[in-house]
Order: sequence, then C-alpha cells, then structure tokens
Amino acid sequence: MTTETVDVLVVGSGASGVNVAAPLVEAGLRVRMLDFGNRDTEYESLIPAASFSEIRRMDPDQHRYFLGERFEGVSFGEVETGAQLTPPRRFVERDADALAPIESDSFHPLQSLAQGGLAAAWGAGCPPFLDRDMQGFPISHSDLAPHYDAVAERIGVSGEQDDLAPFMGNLAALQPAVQNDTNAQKIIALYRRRSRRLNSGGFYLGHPRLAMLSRPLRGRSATAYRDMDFWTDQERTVYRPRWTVEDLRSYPNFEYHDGLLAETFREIAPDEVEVAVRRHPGGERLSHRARSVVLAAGALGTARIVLRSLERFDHRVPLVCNPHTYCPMINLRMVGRPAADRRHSLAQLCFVYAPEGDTGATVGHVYSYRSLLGFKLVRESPLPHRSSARIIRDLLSSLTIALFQHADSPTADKHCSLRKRPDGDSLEIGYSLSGEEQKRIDHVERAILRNFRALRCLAIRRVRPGLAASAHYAGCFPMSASGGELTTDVSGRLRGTTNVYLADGSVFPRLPSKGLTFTMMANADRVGTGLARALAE
Amino acid sequence: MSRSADDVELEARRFVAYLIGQEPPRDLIDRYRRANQLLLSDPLAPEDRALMEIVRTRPSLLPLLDGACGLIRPESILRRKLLLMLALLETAPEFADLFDPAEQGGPRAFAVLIGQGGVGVLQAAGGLLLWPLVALRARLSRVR
Repeated sequence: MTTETVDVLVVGSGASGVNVAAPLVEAGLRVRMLDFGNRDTEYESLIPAASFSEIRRMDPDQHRYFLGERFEGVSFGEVETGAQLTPPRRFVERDADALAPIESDSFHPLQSLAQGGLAAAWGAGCPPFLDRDMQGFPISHSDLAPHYDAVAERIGVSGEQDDLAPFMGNLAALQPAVQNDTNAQKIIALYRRRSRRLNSGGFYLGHPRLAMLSRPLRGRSATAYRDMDFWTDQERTVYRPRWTVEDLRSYPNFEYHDGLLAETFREIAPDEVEVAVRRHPGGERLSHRARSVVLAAGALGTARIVLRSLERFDHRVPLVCNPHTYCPMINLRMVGRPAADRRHSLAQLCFVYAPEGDTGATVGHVYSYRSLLGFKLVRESPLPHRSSARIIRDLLSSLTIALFQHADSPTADKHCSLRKRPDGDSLEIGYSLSGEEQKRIDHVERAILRNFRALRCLAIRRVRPGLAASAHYAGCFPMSASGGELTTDVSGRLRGTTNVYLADGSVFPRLPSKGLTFTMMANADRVGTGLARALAE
Repeated sequence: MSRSADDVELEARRFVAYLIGQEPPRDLIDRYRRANQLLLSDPLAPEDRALMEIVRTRPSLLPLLDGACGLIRPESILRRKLLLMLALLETAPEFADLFDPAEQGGPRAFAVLIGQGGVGVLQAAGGLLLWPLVALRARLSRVR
C-alpha cells in the first residue's frame, strides 16, 4: 500500500528528526514523520506532582515506579549499558533488541524505538562544538552558530557565561542558569577561591548548559526543583523531542505516523524516493513516497537502513562512541551537613580540563547523588548491607559523581557492518580502544581527579560501565568535503543518492569530548533549512 | 500457607530485623514475596541453599555471612535477597526517615562512618571464619 507523495519524509522522531522537520514544516513544505513511537503508558500517570522528598514520605505506591511494576529497577550483577534508565524511562529501549538486533562481543549499545529516541531519557547537556572540537569536520562552528541559536530558542537552554565561556561559546537565546544544589554550591565556592591555581593547570568549573528551563517557554514550565527529573517529565522542564512533535502536529502540513519501522529507501525517479516500512504490530508492509527523505533514526538505525537499501551487506563502516567513566567522590565539606531538598536532578556543574599544549579539551559533568535511591550504591559495597546502608545514608548529601566523557576518533578497530541472517539481518559491531587511547583516558582522568582533590572531593573508585555506555554513537557515514564512498556531503546528502539526506550522529566524522545531542540538533536544523531552500528552488 | 511461603515470610522478617531492627508490615512481606518470584526464582546452587538454611535457623549469623559473601560471593543469593529487601524498605514511606541523611556535623559524621566501617569489617572477618561451615553444609547437601 502506498500513500500520497509528500515533499519530505523524515524517518525517526528523536533529537535529530524533530529538529530537521521543524525548519521544513515552518517553510511550508509537506512533511511526514515515520516513527516506531514507543511511549511510556505505564508509569507517567502513577507519579504524583510532588517533590522527591514529599513522595518518599507520603506515597505508599512509590515502589511501583521507583522499583518498577516488575521490580525491573532492582538489578544485580555487572553495571550494563542502560543501567541509568529508571523504570519510567525503560520504554526508551523497549522492542529494540528484538527488532534491531546487534551482534558484538565488546559493544552493547542502547538503541531506541521510542518517540523521541534516546533523547527521551537524555541528560540534557547542551555543550556546543567549537572549532577546536570540529577537527576533521568539513564545516565549522560558524556554519552551525545560527542553528545552535534556532535550536536553543526551540528547546530552551539555560546556562551562564562563566569560566567555561571560552569552551562553550555564545548562545543568543540562553536562559539564566538553573540553581545549584547545596553540594554543588560548596564545590563552586571553593573553586572560586582557588580558581587562579586550578586554571593555571588547565582546570575550569562552571554551570553546565542544560536543556532545562529556568523560565517558561512554549507552554512548558520553569523547573520547580522537585528533584524528580530522572523519573518524570510532568513539568516539561527538561526538553524531550516529543514536545516538538506535539508542536509540529499543530501545523496542517505535518503528519506523524507511528507504529512503523523503516526498512529501506529506493530512489524511483529523479525527484521521488520511496521508503518501505513495516507496521508493528501486524507486520504489514507499506511504502511512503516523497521528493526527499531524511534519515534520522540514530547512527545505528540509519546505518541499518542505508546498508540494507544499498545492499552493502558485510561492508564495514566506521563507528565512534564517547568512552564514559563514572567516578563517585565524597565532598568532604558536605559530610554530615544538611542538603536542601529543593534541587534538580541533572548535572549540577560542568568541568573542562584543557592543559596548555594539549590540543583537545576533556569535558565532563558533576552530579549530586540523591534521587536515584541509596540501595543502588549499597550494591557496590563489599561490607554487610546494614553497615553499608548506614554509611551510604550518612554520606548521601556529600556523594558527588563526576562523569567523564572522552573524545573518540575512528580507527580500524571501530566499525559496524550489516550481516544477512536467515530471518533478516543484524548489525555486527567491532569496537575496541587501543592501548594508547586507554592510556590517554587514564592519564586525563587522574589529572582531573587531582583537581577535584584540591576542591576537597575524594574519588572512591572509577567505574567504566562498558564501551557503549555513553549512548553517543556516530561516524558511520561521515560528512566529507572531498567525497568518498558511503559519506555525506556538507548538505547532509548521502553520496551516490540524489534525494536521500542524513541528519543524525552518523554524519559526524569524530566525537569531541562533549555530548553530541545539541550539535546533532543544530546540524539537523542546518540540514533541514538547506533542504527547505533547495526544495523551494 | 505452604512451606516455601512460610520460608519467605520468615526470611523477610529476619532480613528486616537485621537491616533496620523493626517488624515488617504485611504489605511489605507480600511485596517481597512477589519480587522474589519475579527476580530470584531460579533453582539455588548448593552453596546458596546452605547459606539460606543457616540464615533461617541461626539469624544471629546473618550479619557475619552477609559480610563474608560481600568479600567472596558478592552475587550470592543472600546478598541479592538482602539488596532486594533494602530496596523495598527504602521505597516504603514508613521507613523513609531511616534512609535520609542524618545531620550531625562533620566530626561526628566521620566518627560514625569509621565506626560503621569498622563494625562491617569485623563482621566480614567473622563470616570468613564461619565459611567452612557453609561449604560443609553445601557438600553434604550435594551428597544427599
């Protein structure tokens, strides 16, 4: 069955999909979004509109969403990719293993068939890529700058021009920073007293850029500091792509079709592309046609669709992913001290380590551990549970998590390929870090932890939760000015095709030490704006 | 009530007494039973079975065996069940205060932490001394 031809088909409703669709829709083009569209239908209605501490004291049903109806929030064994997802966020990965199979010994990625994709559970960090972050990109920060502004205006980004300004650039639509919690206030106060010495060693600390509102925007509320951001989106304080899907649905020239898994594209005429989809549940095959198609199914999803459509089975394409390390620390100045209940749950601080003479900067975030519940930390302790529970309780207000995010560049040891199987196909991934890369990561982390020691934050251990844990996947069809097989040009068009564009992380040639989501959105806005212009002509 | 249902209830009471020194309410026991069925219903290895039998008959040894398992069998059924019970307690409003950070000032907090850590280490050491008993019981159950 084929539906009416539209101007543009957008595959996927994640951070890239909605931000490529927005400028196309605003330009008056007929846009149809094809999405699988899983949503949380189980937990949202159970969670009261109250703060974490009020809920803890009042709601007898809290175990239903804190631990999950099937106790899926209680896990044993090794920390795995996706462990950060609370039960109300688990819908993000639902059906992905079955419908988008991966084979790998070392790399176990988080994939999503949710409305909003992985950004339905992202940490909302919005550090833009500056020129120093974009080595190897055929575009520069100035090409993205207006699109960062457009996206910031669309999604709402809060932050401050502080010591991190040289690493974060300017945003015209930046909202005031959200307030720090007690623990972060202590750390930043000490940093300000010692900043000259720390800065001379290349260490900087400041407010993170967050897609969390400090002022109302487009019907969404400023944060009420309820500390429930890991569990619910009731106040719509944190940006989720589904807010943009809802906005777009108010336009008569936008259609949203869910329950569909895109399988292949085919160019059937010089200005017509067909996308074959399968309906779920049911398995019915359908096709949609448009003048152009934009794939925004996430780097791995897009890799599947492109390789299958071009019948490039067993052909290796590159894959990059930010290596992640969590480091629980104790802020000695908070041990035994009270912490205010009024707080948000996301990153409280952002740090940059950029020693002189080093070309790359390492960027990370600092969280205060609180609303994710203490029992998860007890699991990590070798002491008897009673002692561990008491120790964790007494340390809770001082527990600080540093999240390191390292840059990644393609090598021969990082790749994926599509393999034909009797019952379909699967993505085979090989990914390993070289000894040199591991050594550099270790060296940088040790240097950063020395700086935290100067801020009275003592590291307990370093946790590496797996090579795919950051969920930042990119690089399969890199943007390149010079051409090359299975690459994209600067407009986002897949080389070898006429009207197929890619707008997600798959076009980033490498990943700097910054979360890619904000830049992915800005690049999607750039691709969408360019395509709207091209189609109008 | 079946034998195994009795066992689960007894286990729940022992665990709550050990973890927070209180009696569990009925709904918490029921929740623990349901969570056990969903998460921990695989057949037990002989060593795990021996551990659970000792804990049921000699509850005073629970802190010691918990400590020993933390060092040598962190994924044992005993550790998993205790963690599960702790999660259930932490998400029960009547026990919320027990899991909130105590405000006691820096020096006192450090003293309490060192004390708790010391007690934990001693219990684990005691548990290690008892471990041959667990191993023996496991061997006997294998022979049977």
